[in-house]
Amino acid sequence: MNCKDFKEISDSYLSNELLVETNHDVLRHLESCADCRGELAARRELRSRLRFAVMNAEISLIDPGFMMRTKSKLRRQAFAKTNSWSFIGARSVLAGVAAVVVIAVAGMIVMQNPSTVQVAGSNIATPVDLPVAMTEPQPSFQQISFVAARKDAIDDHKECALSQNLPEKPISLEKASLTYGKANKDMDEAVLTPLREAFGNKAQLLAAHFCLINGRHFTHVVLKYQGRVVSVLLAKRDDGDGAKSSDAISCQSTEGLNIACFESGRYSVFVISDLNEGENLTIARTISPAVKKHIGQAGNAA
Amino acid sequence: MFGFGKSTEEENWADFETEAVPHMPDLYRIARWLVRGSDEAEDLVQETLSEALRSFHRYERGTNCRAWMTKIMYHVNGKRLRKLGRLKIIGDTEEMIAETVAFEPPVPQNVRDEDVLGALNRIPDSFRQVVILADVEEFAYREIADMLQIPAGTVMSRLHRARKLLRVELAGVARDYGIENWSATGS
Repeated sequence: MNCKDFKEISDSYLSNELLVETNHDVLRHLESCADCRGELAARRELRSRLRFAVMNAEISLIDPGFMMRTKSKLRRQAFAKTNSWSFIGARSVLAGVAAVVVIAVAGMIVMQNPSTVQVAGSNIATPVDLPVAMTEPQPSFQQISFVAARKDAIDDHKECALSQNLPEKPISLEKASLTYGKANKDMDEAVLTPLREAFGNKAQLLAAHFCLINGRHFTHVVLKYQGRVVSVLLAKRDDGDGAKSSDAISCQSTEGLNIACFESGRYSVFVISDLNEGENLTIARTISPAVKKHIGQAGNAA
Repeated sequence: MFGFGKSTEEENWADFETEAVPHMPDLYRIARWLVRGSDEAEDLVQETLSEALRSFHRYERGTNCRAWMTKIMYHVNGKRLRKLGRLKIIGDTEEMIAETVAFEPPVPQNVRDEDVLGALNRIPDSFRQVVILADVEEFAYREIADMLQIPAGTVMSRLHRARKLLRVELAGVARDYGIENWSATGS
């Protein structure tokens, strides 16, 4: 395989659509061609960034209220047929039962008093019990959007790291690891070690704990970097999508803060500070491999 | 008192609730990039789920329910567009636009999510759909071909061109920002 061949099938390779033999050819070519490795990395990066951007775009997120209303309508639709069938079925049987009762009663009367035939009125037109309680269903799941998590992370940075003004006292990571996931234990080390290796004493640990804001829990590591306060916040995703991991790091600026975010396992990780975007992103890039490894190991240990 | 048909219908609903309903956020996300606004997307999702519920007996357990429902959504949307007279036959023009882009620039780093989304919005609709289904939703080529009712080869070529157009768009953004840092060599 040469570079031209590779370029033609690189998209299919990325989408995992090649035959096993062709995949082997690609891998052999990549081993010996740095240019194509770079090209592939660029394509993979674009794909990863695109996926992350679309998945987390505000317009992509469904309104939980709409979900509840729709589910409720669907449930009504699912049972509308049942109700009519049940009603028709029950009516037929009831009519049959009524007829038998009437005939039996009439027969007995006739037998007891052949000169008079009386038919008693029946009281059996009882409304049929519908098989389904048509109450509004409680949602069995609720999507808490990434945007909401990011907003809560920003609030946590401001209220906890900057103002130390949380309504509830945080608990230690050690304690949190017993109840809220093993990944909490030693998360401060997972964050600080790569920063120390990269920047020496420029990065200092100010606090590490497990805190609650707006009803959402965060594993919170507070750092000082170049004199600025930096929050590394981990929140469990609850979109029900299972473990995810991506090399992409998204950036956003709001209210004078820069936020870099990446995903690892079942967590969204936010790095928030008033450092400039490049510096904030550098911190996220530096800690990302160690944090992902730590989460992975905690997951495997669980 | 009389529960005729109750168990079957309840079981069907329970299956649908477990298999299909959890994909509602995914359907909405796909719909949001398929139609014009959130109201239209919500209508489409609702109609799709209603249709899926009616046809749920045809769904083969163990297959990809998300792909099955997305196919229904494209079908429902096609019907809606025909009714509204907005169905667009993809002509050669869009294909030609992509063909004329000979140079495939490298992927710039440090562009924001907004830039990526902006670039996605600027490429022609037929290319955007394939990119969303393949790169974002990670459906297989044959599933996409089935959804869009096009041959798998067309999916591949459209995806290739779409990615190329995206890189061109993003390179433009990077130039506007004066970003010099390229993540890889171009072709």
